[in-house]
Amino acid sequence: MPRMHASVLEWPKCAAVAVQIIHTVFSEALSRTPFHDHLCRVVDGLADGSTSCGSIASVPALTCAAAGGDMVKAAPLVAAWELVRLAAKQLDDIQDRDESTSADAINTAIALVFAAQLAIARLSQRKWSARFQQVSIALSRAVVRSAAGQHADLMASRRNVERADPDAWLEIALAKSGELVAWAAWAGALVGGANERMVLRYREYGRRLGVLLQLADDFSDTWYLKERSDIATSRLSLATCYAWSVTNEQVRVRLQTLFEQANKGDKMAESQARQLMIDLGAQAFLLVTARLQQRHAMAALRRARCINEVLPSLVALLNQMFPALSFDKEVADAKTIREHGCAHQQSACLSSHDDHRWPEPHYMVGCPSLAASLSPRSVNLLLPT
Amino acid sequence: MNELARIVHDQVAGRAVTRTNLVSSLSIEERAALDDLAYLLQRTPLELAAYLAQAQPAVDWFTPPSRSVQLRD
Repeated sequence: MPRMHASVLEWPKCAAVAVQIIHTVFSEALSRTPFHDHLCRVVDGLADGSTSCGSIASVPALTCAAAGGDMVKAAPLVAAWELVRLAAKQLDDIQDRDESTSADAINTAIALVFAAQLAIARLSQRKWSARFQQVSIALSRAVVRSAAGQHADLMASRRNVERADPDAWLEIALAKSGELVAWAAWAGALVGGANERMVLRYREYGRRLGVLLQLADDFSDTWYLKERSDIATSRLSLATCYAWSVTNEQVRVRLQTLFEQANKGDKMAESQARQLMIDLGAQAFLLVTARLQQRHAMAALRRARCINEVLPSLVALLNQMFPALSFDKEVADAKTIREHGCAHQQSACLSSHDDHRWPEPHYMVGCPSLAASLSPRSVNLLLPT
Repeated sequence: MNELARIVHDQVAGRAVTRTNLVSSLSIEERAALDDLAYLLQRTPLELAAYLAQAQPAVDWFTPPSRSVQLRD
């Protein structure tokens, strides 16, 4: 018999059931108190239809469908995932708030995490009760590991950002964001019917997607946040880890001074620190790191043997994290042939020469105008072969 | 990742990066990521910054991509 698969068109139905579960969980735990209404307002995002399929919210539904399951089966997971993300967001934002609102956020976050467990308990009322305990334990572990990552992040920021290097940043990002998204992707695939080996591949996809999320966050918070950027608040970011790990003592002292001045509200110093990190190549490094994570995630997807109809949505989710990575090399190669009458082999630099300067002998040789002429294109990246 | 950082920094600083250095320092995946992005890494840091300003990562834990990913080409 051909394997049944769920279409991504089922997402609105899945999201609606998830919203219903969330409201039932709140109602069963609380009477119509002001706190009940407060929690309902906090979760309004999923209900108002603004959360599209292909957003982070849909990860458990997408992996469930990709594994051959019915998306609606994953509704309790989507509900739990929404609640956990909201809790994480509340806690993460505390750093930017005053004390009175922080107390409220902590209280709300605690309620949301336990409500997530109640949402998962809905699985026990269905045919998939055998999965319930497994999914519930895994979520608790993911939250504990994420908290450990957050703890390491806070400790590193308090000690001195300069002590952390890119490897340390990656370890923190894998724990802080990777573990939670890994749970969402893994649990969806499990409920969708994937076997033990396959669910681990979806888990790896989620882990890498979580790191991409953290990367995008670091990028925006370093260069585009007008108020309380990572520079002004001395928070740990990959950009600063990079800058400190590659530069010399003289530049390090200069950066340190700019960071201290930015921390005291000096906008000029903040702007100079941003520029100095750009000059050091921090943006280039973040892009390469993002591409690396994207490759890992796509390799995991390839091995997971997803349902074809769902694969583009999972790949699109990766691409949307870093729009700058979504350029079409085939189009660029075609443009090269058209404009310069030659197609340069991009693998040449690693395979044809024993020892040469990189990347000069690359496919750009003789085509100086190509790099400047490329424009960002929002197209799917091809799966690596 | 630490070695990858050093390689990227060397390249941005205009220092030669040899194949021997690449192969001994980086994983296959790291080399492939560098290779994938050679189009972008050819640009100077300032050109790259201008390009990235047009394609900012705007997705966070709660921003639906449909609303946030708007390339301003």
